[in-house]
Amino acid sequence: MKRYDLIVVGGGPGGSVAAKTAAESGLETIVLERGVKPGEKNVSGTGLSPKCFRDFDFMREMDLPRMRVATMATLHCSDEENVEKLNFSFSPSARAPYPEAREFLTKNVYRSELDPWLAELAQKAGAEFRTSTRVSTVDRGEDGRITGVVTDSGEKIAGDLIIGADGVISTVARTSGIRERWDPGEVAMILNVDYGATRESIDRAIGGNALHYWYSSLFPVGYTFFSAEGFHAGLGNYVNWWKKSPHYYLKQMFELEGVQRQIDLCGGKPREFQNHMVTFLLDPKTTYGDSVMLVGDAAGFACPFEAEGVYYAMYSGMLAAKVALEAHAGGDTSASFLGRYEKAWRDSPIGEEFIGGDAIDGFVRGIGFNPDVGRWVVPLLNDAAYGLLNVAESHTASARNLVPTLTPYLPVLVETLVRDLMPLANKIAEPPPKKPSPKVERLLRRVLSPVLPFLARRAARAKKSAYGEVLSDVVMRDFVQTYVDEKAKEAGGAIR
Amino acid sequence: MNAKELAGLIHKTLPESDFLSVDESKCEGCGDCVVVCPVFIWSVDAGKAVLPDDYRERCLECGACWQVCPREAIAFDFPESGTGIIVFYG
Repeated sequence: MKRYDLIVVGGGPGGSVAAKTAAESGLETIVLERGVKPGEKNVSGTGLSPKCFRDFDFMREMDLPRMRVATMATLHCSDEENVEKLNFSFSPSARAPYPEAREFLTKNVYRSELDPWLAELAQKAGAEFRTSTRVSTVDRGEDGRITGVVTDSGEKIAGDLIIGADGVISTVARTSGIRERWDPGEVAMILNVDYGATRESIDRAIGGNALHYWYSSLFPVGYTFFSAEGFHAGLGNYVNWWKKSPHYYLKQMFELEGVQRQIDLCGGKPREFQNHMVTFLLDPKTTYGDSVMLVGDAAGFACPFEAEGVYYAMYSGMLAAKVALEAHAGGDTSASFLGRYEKAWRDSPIGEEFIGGDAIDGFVRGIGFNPDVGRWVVPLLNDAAYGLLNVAESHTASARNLVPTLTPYLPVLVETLVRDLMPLANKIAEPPPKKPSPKVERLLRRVLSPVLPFLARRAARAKKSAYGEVLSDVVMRDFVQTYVDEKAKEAGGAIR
Repeated sequence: MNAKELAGLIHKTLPESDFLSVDESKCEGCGDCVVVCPVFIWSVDAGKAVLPDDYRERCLECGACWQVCPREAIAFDFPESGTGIIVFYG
Protein backbone atom coordinates (compact mmCIF):
# COMPACT_ATOMS: atom_id res chain seq x y z
CA MET A 1 0.00 0.00 0.00
CA LYS A 2 1.24 3.46 -0.88
CA ARG A 3 2.23 5.57 2.11
CA TYR A 4 1.94 9.33 2.02
CA ASP A 5 4.27 11.64 3.92
CA LEU A 6 1.32 13.93 4.58
CA ILE A 7 -2.46 13.48 4.39
CA VAL A 8 -4.46 16.70 4.25
CA VAL A 9 -8.15 16.31 5.05
CA GLY A 10 -10.18 19.09 3.43
CA GLY A 11 -9.52 21.01 0.21
CA GLY A 12 -10.34 24.58 1.30
CA PRO A 13 -7.80 27.41 1.57
CA GLY A 14 -6.13 25.89 4.67
CA GLY A 15 -5.77 22.43 3.11
CA SER A 16 -4.61 23.67 -0.28
CA VAL A 17 -1.98 26.04 1.13
CA ALA A 18 -0.75 23.28 3.49
CA ALA A 19 -0.53 20.85 0.56
CA LYS A 20 1.14 23.39 -1.72
CA THR A 21 3.76 24.25 0.94
CA ALA A 22 4.44 20.59 1.76
CA ALA A 23 4.58 19.41 -1.86
CA GLU A 24 6.96 22.22 -2.81
CA SER A 25 9.30 20.97 -0.09
CA GLY A 26 9.18 17.46 -1.51
CA LEU A 27 6.66 15.77 0.79
CA GLU A 28 4.48 13.12 -0.83
CA THR A 29 1.14 14.81 -0.16
CA ILE A 30 -2.51 13.93 -0.76
CA VAL A 31 -5.56 16.14 -0.22
CA LEU A 32 -8.95 14.52 0.42
CA GLU A 33 -12.00 16.69 -0.27
CA ARG A 34 -15.56 15.47 0.34
CA GLY A 35 -17.15 17.77 -2.27
CA VAL A 36 -17.24 17.05 -5.99
CA LYS A 37 -15.34 20.32 -6.43
CA PRO A 38 -13.21 22.21 -3.90
CA GLY A 39 -15.22 25.07 -2.39
CA GLU A 40 -18.66 23.66 -3.06
CA LYS A 41 -19.29 23.08 0.66
CA ASN A 42 -18.02 26.46 1.76
CA VAL A 43 -19.73 29.72 2.65
CA SER A 44 -17.86 32.93 3.32
CA GLY A 45 -18.47 36.60 3.96
CA THR A 46 -16.43 36.85 0.73
CA GLY A 47 -13.78 39.39 1.80
CA LEU A 48 -10.09 38.52 1.48
CA SER A 49 -8.02 40.85 3.64
CA PRO A 50 -4.86 42.65 2.47
CA LYS A 51 -2.93 40.32 4.81
CA CYS A 52 -3.53 37.45 2.33
CA PHE A 53 -1.66 39.41 -0.33
CA ARG A 54 1.05 40.71 2.00
CA ASP A 55 2.02 37.25 3.24
CA PHE A 56 1.52 35.04 0.17
CA ASP A 57 3.32 36.01 -3.02
CA PHE A 58 1.20 33.67 -5.13
CA MET A 59 -1.94 35.58 -4.12
CA ARG A 60 -0.76 38.54 -6.19
CA GLU A 61 -1.41 36.39 -9.27
CA MET A 62 -5.04 35.84 -8.22
CA ASP A 63 -7.45 36.92 -10.92
CA LEU A 64 -10.95 35.60 -10.29
CA PRO A 65 -13.76 36.61 -12.67
CA ARG A 66 -16.28 37.56 -9.99
CA MET A 67 -13.95 39.57 -7.75
CA ARG A 68 -14.87 43.08 -6.60
CA VAL A 69 -12.30 45.25 -4.83
CA ALA A 70 -13.77 46.99 -1.77
CA THR A 71 -12.25 50.42 -1.25
CA MET A 72 -14.84 51.62 1.24
CA ALA A 73 -16.90 50.17 4.09
CA THR A 74 -20.06 51.67 5.54
CA LEU A 75 -21.71 51.15 8.92
CA HIS A 76 -25.45 51.87 8.92
CA CYS A 77 -27.19 52.38 12.26
CA SER A 78 -30.96 52.06 12.57
CA ASP A 79 -33.37 52.64 15.46
CA GLU A 80 -36.09 50.61 17.17
CA GLU A 81 -38.58 51.60 14.45
CA ASN A 82 -36.25 49.98 11.90
CA VAL A 83 -35.41 53.39 10.42
CA GLU A 84 -31.85 54.21 9.46
CA LYS A 85 -30.64 57.11 11.62
CA LEU A 86 -27.00 57.56 10.78
CA ASN A 87 -24.14 55.97 8.91
CA PHE A 88 -20.47 56.48 8.37
CA SER A 89 -17.88 55.14 5.98
CA PHE A 90 -14.16 54.65 5.94
CA SER A 91 -11.53 53.77 3.35
CA PRO A 92 -7.91 52.56 3.35
CA SER A 93 -5.58 54.89 5.20
CA ALA A 94 -2.68 56.51 3.37
CA ARG A 95 -0.67 55.67 6.49
CA ALA A 96 -1.55 51.95 6.49
CA PRO A 97 1.59 49.87 7.03
CA TYR A 98 1.98 48.19 3.60
CA PRO A 99 0.98 48.79 -0.06
CA GLU A 100 -1.98 46.39 -0.30
CA ALA A 101 -3.48 47.82 2.89
CA ARG A 102 -3.24 51.32 1.42
CA GLU A 103 -4.94 50.13 -1.75
CA PHE A 104 -8.05 48.25 -0.62
CA LEU A 105 -10.02 47.04 2.42
CA THR A 106 -10.90 43.60 1.04
CA LYS A 107 -11.07 41.73 -2.23
CA ASN A 108 -14.52 40.13 -2.36
CA VAL A 109 -14.60 36.74 -4.04
CA TYR A 110 -16.72 33.62 -4.28
CA ARG A 111 -15.41 30.46 -2.65
CA SER A 112 -16.55 28.49 -5.70
CA GLU A 113 -13.81 30.35 -7.59
CA LEU A 114 -11.18 30.88 -4.88
CA ASP A 115 -10.99 27.32 -3.55
CA PRO A 116 -10.57 25.57 -6.94
CA TRP A 117 -7.87 28.09 -7.88
CA LEU A 118 -5.92 27.39 -4.66
CA ALA A 119 -6.45 23.65 -5.15
CA GLU A 120 -4.95 23.94 -8.61
CA LEU A 121 -1.85 25.64 -7.15
CA ALA A 122 -1.46 22.74 -4.72
CA GLN A 123 -1.76 20.27 -7.59
CA LYS A 124 0.76 22.17 -9.69
CA ALA A 125 3.17 22.00 -6.74
CA GLY A 126 2.87 18.21 -6.91
CA ALA A 127 0.16 17.38 -4.37
CA GLU A 128 -2.34 14.66 -5.27
CA PHE A 129 -5.90 15.96 -5.01
CA ARG A 130 -8.88 13.67 -4.60
CA THR A 131 -12.41 15.04 -4.60
CA SER A 132 -15.66 13.22 -3.72
CA THR A 133 -13.68 11.58 -0.93
CA ARG A 134 -15.02 11.96 2.57
CA VAL A 135 -12.83 10.84 5.43
CA SER A 136 -14.95 9.08 8.05
CA THR A 137 -12.24 8.52 10.67
CA VAL A 138 -8.54 8.49 11.37
CA ASP A 139 -7.12 4.98 11.18
CA ARG A 140 -5.25 3.39 14.07
CA GLY A 141 -2.86 0.46 14.22
CA GLU A 142 -3.07 -2.31 16.81
CA ASP A 143 -0.90 -0.30 19.17
CA GLY A 144 -3.41 2.58 18.94
CA ARG A 145 -1.13 4.86 16.97
CA ILE A 146 -2.57 6.80 14.05
CA THR A 147 -1.61 5.16 10.77
CA GLY A 148 -3.72 7.09 8.26
CA VAL A 149 -7.36 7.75 7.49
CA VAL A 150 -10.35 5.72 6.32
CA THR A 151 -12.75 7.08 3.70
CA ASP A 152 -16.49 6.45 3.84
CA SER A 153 -16.15 3.77 1.17
CA GLY A 154 -13.82 1.91 3.54
CA GLU A 155 -10.62 2.68 1.66
CA LYS A 156 -7.56 3.12 3.86
CA ILE A 157 -5.06 5.82 3.04
CA ALA A 158 -1.78 5.37 4.87
CA GLY A 159 0.43 8.05 6.36
CA ASP A 160 1.32 9.01 9.89
CA LEU A 161 1.08 12.79 9.50
CA ILE A 162 -2.39 14.29 9.12
CA ILE A 163 -3.42 17.89 8.73
CA GLY A 164 -7.08 18.40 9.64
CA ALA A 165 -8.25 21.23 7.39
CA ASP A 166 -11.82 20.01 7.50
CA GLY A 167 -13.71 22.96 8.86
CA VAL A 168 -15.62 23.91 11.98
CA ILE A 169 -17.07 20.38 12.30
CA SER A 170 -13.75 18.61 11.94
CA THR A 171 -13.82 14.84 11.44
CA VAL A 172 -10.09 14.72 12.17
CA ALA A 173 -10.57 16.54 15.49
CA ARG A 174 -13.55 14.33 16.38
CA THR A 175 -12.04 10.97 15.55
CA SER A 176 -8.50 11.68 16.79
CA GLY A 177 -9.93 12.55 20.21
CA ILE A 178 -9.05 16.24 20.19
CA ARG A 179 -12.64 17.49 20.37
CA GLU A 180 -16.11 16.10 19.72
CA ARG A 181 -17.83 19.47 19.30
CA TRP A 182 -17.45 23.06 20.42
CA ASP A 183 -19.18 24.52 23.43
CA PRO A 184 -22.50 26.01 22.20
CA GLY A 185 -21.33 29.42 23.48
CA GLU A 186 -18.20 29.27 21.33
CA VAL A 187 -19.75 29.00 17.93
CA ALA A 188 -21.96 31.32 15.89
CA MET A 189 -24.37 30.53 13.11
CA ILE A 190 -24.40 32.85 10.09
CA LEU A 191 -27.35 32.94 7.69
CA ASN A 192 -26.50 34.13 4.25
CA VAL A 193 -28.59 34.91 1.17
CA ASP A 194 -26.75 35.18 -2.13
CA TYR A 195 -28.25 37.57 -4.69
CA GLY A 196 -27.40 37.56 -8.36
CA ALA A 197 -27.12 40.88 -10.21
CA THR A 198 -25.38 42.36 -13.20
CA ARG A 199 -21.90 43.81 -13.00
CA GLU A 200 -23.09 47.10 -14.49
CA SER A 201 -25.89 47.61 -11.97
CA ILE A 202 -23.61 46.93 -9.00
CA ASP A 203 -20.94 49.19 -10.50
CA ARG A 204 -23.50 51.98 -10.70
CA ALA A 205 -25.22 51.47 -7.35
CA ILE A 206 -22.29 50.36 -5.19
CA GLY A 207 -18.93 50.73 -6.94
CA GLY A 208 -16.11 50.16 -4.48
CA ASN A 209 -18.30 50.85 -1.42
CA ALA A 210 -18.76 47.09 -1.26
CA LEU A 211 -18.88 46.28 2.47
CA HIS A 212 -22.02 47.38 4.32
CA TYR A 213 -22.71 46.59 7.97
CA TRP A 214 -26.18 47.06 9.41
CA TYR A 215 -26.30 47.78 13.13
CA SER A 216 -29.66 47.67 14.89
CA SER A 217 -31.41 46.88 18.15
CA LEU A 218 -33.87 44.66 16.25
CA PHE A 219 -31.42 42.09 14.87
CA PRO A 220 -27.79 41.04 15.42
CA VAL A 221 -25.36 43.03 13.27
CA GLY A 222 -25.91 42.15 9.60
CA TYR A 223 -24.04 42.75 6.36
CA THR A 224 -24.36 43.21 2.61
CA PHE A 225 -21.07 42.41 0.86
CA PHE A 226 -20.75 42.86 -2.90
CA SER A 227 -18.74 40.88 -5.40
CA ALA A 228 -18.58 41.67 -9.12
CA GLU A 229 -21.87 40.04 -10.14
CA GLY A 230 -23.70 39.30 -6.95
CA PHE A 231 -23.85 39.98 -3.25
CA HIS A 232 -24.27 38.34 0.12
CA ALA A 233 -26.78 39.54 2.70
CA GLY A 234 -26.84 37.94 6.11
CA LEU A 235 -26.44 38.04 9.86
CA GLY A 236 -25.50 35.73 12.70
CA ASN A 237 -25.15 35.12 16.39
CA TYR A 238 -24.10 32.35 18.80
CA VAL A 239 -26.00 29.11 18.14
CA ASN A 240 -27.55 29.27 21.61
CA TRP A 241 -28.53 32.97 21.35
CA TRP A 242 -31.65 32.70 19.16
CA LYS A 243 -34.97 33.25 20.92
CA LYS A 244 -36.98 33.15 17.69
CA SER A 245 -36.33 31.65 14.28
CA PRO A 246 -33.26 33.23 12.64
CA HIS A 247 -35.60 34.18 9.77
CA TYR A 248 -37.44 36.57 12.08
CA TYR A 249 -34.27 38.63 12.50
CA LEU A 250 -33.28 38.27 8.84
CA LYS A 251 -36.69 39.64 7.85
CA GLN A 252 -36.19 42.70 10.07
CA MET A 253 -32.94 43.38 8.29
CA PHE A 254 -34.44 42.92 4.83
CA GLU A 255 -37.24 45.36 5.73
CA LEU A 256 -34.74 48.15 6.28
CA GLU A 257 -35.18 50.73 3.56
CA GLY A 258 -31.42 50.95 3.00
CA VAL A 259 -31.12 47.20 2.39
CA GLN A 260 -34.19 47.23 0.12
CA ARG A 261 -32.75 50.12 -1.85
CA GLN A 262 -29.47 48.27 -2.42
CA ILE A 263 -31.31 45.17 -3.63
CA ASP A 264 -33.57 47.24 -5.91
CA LEU A 265 -30.82 49.42 -7.36
CA CYS A 266 -28.68 46.37 -8.12
CA GLY A 267 -31.66 44.44 -9.46
CA GLY A 268 -30.68 41.63 -7.06
CA LYS A 269 -32.48 38.27 -7.39
CA PRO A 270 -32.17 35.72 -4.54
CA ARG A 271 -30.06 32.90 -5.92
CA GLU A 272 -29.08 30.73 -2.98
CA PHE A 273 -29.76 30.33 0.73
CA GLN A 274 -26.79 29.33 2.86
CA ASN A 275 -25.97 28.74 6.50
CA HIS A 276 -22.72 27.99 8.22
CA MET A 277 -21.11 27.98 11.64
CA VAL A 278 -18.03 29.89 12.69
CA THR A 279 -16.13 29.88 15.98
CA PHE A 280 -15.68 32.86 18.27
CA LEU A 281 -13.12 31.62 20.77
CA LEU A 282 -11.39 33.09 23.78
CA ASP A 283 -8.40 30.99 22.79
CA PRO A 284 -8.01 28.16 20.25
CA LYS A 285 -7.15 25.46 22.85
CA THR A 286 -5.89 22.14 21.49
CA THR A 287 -4.69 22.34 17.89
CA TYR A 288 -2.53 19.20 17.66
CA GLY A 289 -2.14 15.66 18.92
CA ASP A 290 -0.16 12.55 18.01
CA SER A 291 0.23 12.60 14.19
CA VAL A 292 -2.35 15.39 13.87
CA MET A 293 -2.35 19.14 13.36
CA LEU A 294 -5.52 21.21 12.90
CA VAL A 295 -5.62 24.30 10.71
CA GLY A 296 -8.17 27.00 9.85
CA ASP A 297 -11.72 26.61 11.13
CA ALA A 298 -10.93 23.09 12.37
CA ALA A 299 -8.52 24.70 14.85
CA GLY A 300 -10.93 27.52 15.71
CA PHE A 301 -8.72 30.16 14.06
CA ALA A 302 -11.51 32.38 12.75
CA CYS A 303 -10.75 35.91 13.92
CA PRO A 304 -12.59 36.29 17.27
CA PHE A 305 -13.43 39.88 16.40
CA GLU A 306 -15.15 39.74 13.02
CA ALA A 307 -14.87 36.11 11.95
CA GLU A 308 -12.43 36.50 9.06
CA GLY A 309 -11.32 32.95 8.30
CA VAL A 310 -9.57 32.44 4.97
CA TYR A 311 -6.35 34.26 5.88
CA TYR A 312 -5.96 32.38 9.17
CA ALA A 313 -6.65 29.09 7.41
CA MET A 314 -4.01 29.80 4.77
CA TYR A 315 -1.45 30.98 7.31
CA SER A 316 -1.96 28.06 9.69
CA GLY A 317 -1.88 25.67 6.71
CA MET A 318 1.52 27.05 5.77
CA LEU A 319 2.83 26.79 9.35
CA ALA A 320 1.52 23.25 9.82
CA ALA A 321 3.14 22.13 6.55
CA LYS A 322 6.51 23.49 7.72
CA VAL A 323 6.23 21.61 11.01
CA ALA A 324 5.17 18.50 9.04
CA LEU A 325 8.36 18.81 7.01
CA GLU A 326 10.47 18.91 10.19
CA ALA A 327 8.53 16.03 11.72
CA HIS A 328 9.01 13.95 8.58
CA ALA A 329 12.72 14.73 8.39
CA GLY A 330 13.24 13.80 12.05
CA GLY A 331 10.94 10.77 11.90
CA ASP A 332 9.00 12.05 14.93
CA THR A 333 5.25 12.61 14.60
CA SER A 334 4.48 12.52 18.33
CA ALA A 335 2.34 15.19 19.95
CA SER A 336 5.34 16.41 21.89
CA PHE A 337 7.17 17.12 18.63
CA LEU A 338 4.13 18.61 16.89
CA GLY A 339 3.79 20.98 19.85
CA ARG A 340 6.09 23.28 17.91
CA TYR A 341 3.11 23.92 15.60
CA GLU A 342 1.31 25.60 18.51
CA LYS A 343 4.38 27.64 19.30
CA ALA A 344 4.58 28.66 15.61
CA TRP A 345 0.98 29.89 15.36
CA ARG A 346 1.10 31.60 18.76
CA ASP A 347 4.15 33.57 17.55
CA SER A 348 2.38 34.46 14.29
CA PRO A 349 -0.40 36.90 13.29
CA ILE A 350 -2.83 34.14 14.33
CA GLY A 351 -1.67 34.16 17.95
CA GLU A 352 -1.70 37.93 17.92
CA GLU A 353 -5.46 37.92 17.17
CA PHE A 354 -6.07 35.97 20.35
CA ILE A 355 -3.93 38.01 22.75
CA GLY A 356 -7.04 40.05 23.55
CA GLY A 357 -8.84 36.81 24.48
CA ASP A 358 -11.43 37.49 27.13
CA ALA A 359 -11.45 41.25 26.43
CA ILE A 360 -12.38 40.70 22.77
CA ASP A 361 -14.93 38.12 23.84
CA GLY A 362 -16.43 40.65 26.27
CA PHE A 363 -16.62 43.26 23.52
CA VAL A 364 -18.18 40.90 20.95
CA ARG A 365 -20.75 39.59 23.43
CA GLY A 366 -21.38 42.95 25.08
CA ILE A 367 -21.59 45.15 21.98
CA GLY A 368 -21.09 43.39 18.64
CA PHE A 369 -23.52 40.53 19.15
CA ASN A 370 -25.77 42.38 21.59
CA PRO A 371 -28.62 44.20 19.81
CA ASP A 372 -29.76 45.74 23.15
CA VAL A 373 -26.85 48.15 23.03
CA GLY A 374 -28.20 49.55 19.75
CA ARG A 375 -31.20 50.89 21.65
CA TRP A 376 -29.13 53.71 23.14
CA VAL A 377 -25.92 53.75 21.08
CA VAL A 378 -27.73 54.68 17.87
CA PRO A 379 -29.67 57.66 19.40
CA LEU A 380 -26.50 58.72 21.23
CA LEU A 381 -24.37 58.80 18.09
CA ASN A 382 -27.09 60.54 16.14
CA ASP A 383 -27.74 63.14 18.85
CA ALA A 384 -24.02 63.88 18.95
CA ALA A 385 -23.75 64.24 15.16
CA TYR A 386 -26.99 66.21 14.92
CA GLY A 387 -25.99 68.43 17.84
CA LEU A 388 -22.80 69.41 16.08
CA LEU A 389 -24.02 69.74 12.51
CA ASN A 390 -27.72 70.70 12.45
CA VAL A 391 -28.97 73.96 10.99
CA ALA A 392 -32.28 74.03 12.87
CA GLU A 393 -30.92 76.62 15.28
CA SER A 394 -27.94 78.93 15.51
CA HIS A 395 -24.76 76.92 15.97
CA THR A 396 -24.22 78.66 19.29
CA ALA A 397 -27.60 77.45 20.54
CA SER A 398 -26.96 73.93 19.23
CA ALA A 399 -23.58 73.76 20.90
CA ARG A 400 -25.16 74.96 24.16
CA ASN A 401 -27.77 72.18 23.88
CA LEU A 402 -25.20 69.49 23.22
CA VAL A 403 -24.19 68.86 26.83
CA PRO A 404 -27.71 68.63 28.31
CA THR A 405 -28.76 66.44 25.37
CA LEU A 406 -25.92 63.98 25.83
CA THR A 407 -25.76 63.95 29.64
CA PRO A 408 -28.60 61.41 30.11
CA TYR A 409 -26.58 58.86 28.11
CA LEU A 410 -23.59 59.12 30.46
CA PRO A 411 -24.48 56.43 33.04
CA VAL A 412 -25.10 53.68 30.49
CA LEU A 413 -22.24 54.88 28.28
CA VAL A 414 -19.74 54.85 31.13
CA GLU A 415 -20.97 51.47 32.31
CA THR A 416 -20.55 49.94 28.87
CA LEU A 417 -17.21 51.59 28.28
CA VAL A 418 -15.85 50.32 31.57
CA ARG A 419 -17.32 46.83 31.23
CA ASP A 420 -16.92 46.01 27.54
CA LEU A 421 -14.57 48.49 25.92
CA MET A 422 -11.87 49.42 28.45
CA PRO A 423 -10.64 45.86 29.01
CA LEU A 424 -10.24 45.58 25.25
CA ALA A 425 -8.45 48.92 25.00
CA ASN A 426 -6.12 47.90 27.82
CA LYS A 427 -5.29 44.60 26.16
CA ILE A 428 -4.64 46.16 22.79
CA ALA A 429 -2.50 48.96 24.22
CA GLU A 430 1.24 48.46 24.29
CA PRO A 431 2.53 46.93 27.51
CA PRO A 432 3.17 49.71 30.05
CA PRO A 433 6.49 51.48 29.48
CA LYS A 434 9.36 50.01 31.43
CA LYS A 435 10.54 51.81 34.55
CA PRO A 436 13.35 54.25 33.85
CA SER A 437 16.80 52.80 34.37
CA PRO A 438 18.17 53.24 37.90
CA LYS A 439 20.60 55.81 36.54
CA VAL A 440 17.83 57.96 35.05
CA GLU A 441 15.72 57.52 38.17
CA ARG A 442 18.54 58.67 40.42
CA LEU A 443 19.07 61.71 38.22
CA LEU A 444 15.34 62.52 38.26
CA ARG A 445 15.20 62.28 42.01
CA ARG A 446 18.21 64.53 42.48
CA VAL A 447 16.74 67.15 40.15
CA LEU A 448 13.22 66.94 41.55
CA SER A 449 13.85 66.47 45.27
CA PRO A 450 14.10 70.22 46.04
CA VAL A 451 10.63 70.83 44.56
CA LEU A 452 8.85 67.70 45.84
CA PRO A 453 7.61 69.20 49.11
CA PHE A 454 6.20 72.08 47.09
CA LEU A 455 4.46 69.71 44.66
CA ALA A 456 3.05 67.75 47.56
CA ARG A 457 1.55 70.92 49.06
CA ARG A 458 0.06 71.90 45.70
CA ALA A 459 -1.44 68.46 45.38
CA ALA A 460 -3.02 68.68 48.83
CA ARG A 461 -4.53 72.04 48.02
CA ALA A 462 -5.70 70.94 44.55
CA LYS A 463 -7.54 68.04 46.15
CA LYS A 464 -10.16 70.46 47.39
CA SER A 465 -11.55 70.88 43.85
CA ALA A 466 -13.09 67.97 41.96
CA TYR A 467 -10.62 68.08 39.14
CA GLY A 468 -7.76 68.55 41.59
CA GLU A 469 -8.72 65.33 43.26
CA VAL A 470 -8.28 63.40 40.06
CA LEU A 471 -5.06 65.21 39.33
CA SER A 472 -3.58 64.62 42.74
CA ASP A 473 -4.72 61.03 42.90
CA VAL A 474 -3.58 59.93 39.51
CA VAL A 475 -0.59 62.12 38.78
CA MET A 476 0.82 63.00 42.14
CA ARG A 477 0.12 60.06 44.40
CA ASP A 478 2.86 57.70 43.32
CA PHE A 479 5.43 60.39 43.07
CA VAL A 480 4.72 61.94 46.43
CA GLN A 481 4.32 58.58 48.13
CA THR A 482 7.68 57.45 46.83
CA TYR A 483 9.24 60.62 48.18
CA VAL A 484 7.58 60.25 51.56
CA ASP A 485 8.55 56.58 51.77
CA GLU A 486 12.09 57.42 50.97
CA LYS A 487 12.26 60.12 53.63
CA ALA A 488 10.80 57.71 56.16
CA LYS A 489 13.36 55.10 55.20
CA GLU A 490 16.16 57.60 55.56
CA ALA A 491 14.88 58.62 58.96
CA GLY A 492 14.48 54.98 60.03
CA GLY A 493 18.00 54.29 58.92
CA ALA A 494 19.25 57.25 60.90
CA ILE A 495 17.46 56.13 64.07
CA ARG A 496 18.81 52.64 63.81
CA MET B 1 -39.58 36.10 -0.55
CA ASN B 2 -40.84 34.40 2.62
CA ALA B 3 -38.76 32.25 4.95
CA LYS B 4 -40.04 28.93 3.59
CA GLU B 5 -39.30 29.93 -0.01
CA LEU B 6 -35.87 31.17 1.01
CA ALA B 7 -35.16 27.91 2.85
CA GLY B 8 -35.92 26.05 -0.38
CA LEU B 9 -33.37 28.03 -2.35
CA ILE B 10 -30.65 25.39 -2.08
CA HIS B 11 -28.84 22.98 -4.36
CA LYS B 12 -27.89 19.43 -3.50
CA THR B 13 -27.20 15.91 -4.61
CA LEU B 14 -29.49 13.76 -2.49
CA PRO B 15 -27.51 11.65 0.00
CA GLU B 16 -28.56 8.00 0.11
CA SER B 17 -27.79 7.25 3.72
CA ASP B 18 -28.76 8.93 6.97
CA PHE B 19 -26.45 11.52 8.46
CA LEU B 20 -28.63 13.03 11.20
CA SER B 21 -30.51 11.38 14.06
CA VAL B 22 -31.89 12.02 17.52
CA ASP B 23 -31.49 9.83 20.55
CA GLU B 24 -34.95 9.89 22.16
CA SER B 25 -33.63 8.61 25.47
CA LYS B 26 -31.51 11.74 25.81
CA CYS B 27 -33.88 14.33 24.24
CA GLU B 28 -35.88 16.41 26.69
CA GLY B 29 -37.87 18.29 24.06
CA CYS B 30 -36.45 21.73 24.87
CA GLY B 31 -36.88 22.80 21.23
CA ASP B 32 -33.52 24.55 20.84
CA CYS B 33 -33.03 22.60 17.58
CA VAL B 34 -36.47 23.74 16.35
CA VAL B 35 -35.60 27.40 16.92
CA VAL B 36 -32.10 27.34 15.47
CA CYS B 37 -32.73 25.35 12.28
CA PRO B 38 -32.95 27.84 9.38
CA VAL B 39 -34.69 25.33 7.10
CA PHE B 40 -37.41 24.26 9.60
CA ILE B 41 -36.50 20.59 9.81
CA TRP B 42 -37.16 19.90 13.48
CA SER B 43 -40.38 19.81 15.45
CA VAL B 44 -41.23 18.63 18.97
CA ASP B 45 -43.96 16.10 19.55
CA ALA B 46 -44.89 14.56 22.91
CA GLY B 47 -41.75 16.04 24.51
CA LYS B 48 -39.31 14.65 21.94
CA ALA B 49 -37.60 16.17 18.91
CA VAL B 50 -38.90 14.72 15.65
CA LEU B 51 -36.84 14.33 12.50
CA PRO B 52 -39.00 14.16 9.34
CA ASP B 53 -38.44 11.58 6.61
CA ASP B 54 -37.51 14.18 4.01
CA TYR B 55 -34.74 15.88 6.04
CA ARG B 56 -32.05 14.69 3.59
CA GLU B 57 -33.65 16.81 0.87
CA ARG B 58 -33.83 19.99 2.96
CA CYS B 59 -30.91 19.92 5.40
CA LEU B 60 -28.13 22.49 4.85
CA GLU B 61 -25.66 20.29 6.77
CA CYS B 62 -24.64 23.27 8.91
CA GLY B 63 -24.65 21.18 12.10
CA ALA B 64 -26.25 23.93 14.22
CA CYS B 65 -28.83 21.57 15.79
CA TRP B 66 -26.12 19.08 16.75
CA GLN B 67 -23.97 21.89 18.10
CA VAL B 68 -26.71 23.62 20.11
CA CYS B 69 -28.35 20.58 21.73
CA PRO B 70 -27.88 20.91 25.51
CA ARG B 71 -28.41 17.15 26.02
CA GLU B 72 -26.08 16.10 23.18
CA ALA B 73 -29.00 14.04 21.93
CA ILE B 74 -28.46 14.81 18.23
CA ALA B 75 -25.92 12.86 16.18
CA PHE B 76 -24.57 14.47 13.01
CA ASP B 77 -21.97 13.59 10.41
CA PHE B 78 -21.51 14.73 6.83
CA PRO B 79 -23.33 12.82 4.09
CA GLU B 80 -21.38 10.37 1.97
CA SER B 81 -18.66 11.39 -0.48
CA GLY B 82 -19.71 13.68 -3.29
CA THR B 83 -23.31 14.09 -2.08
CA GLY B 84 -25.25 16.61 -0.06
CA ILE B 85 -25.38 20.37 -0.20
CA ILE B 86 -23.71 22.19 -3.10
CA VAL B 87 -22.95 25.84 -2.56
CA PHE B 88 -22.55 27.53 -5.92
CA TYR B 89 -22.24 31.04 -4.55
CA GLY B 90 -20.54 30.67 -1.17
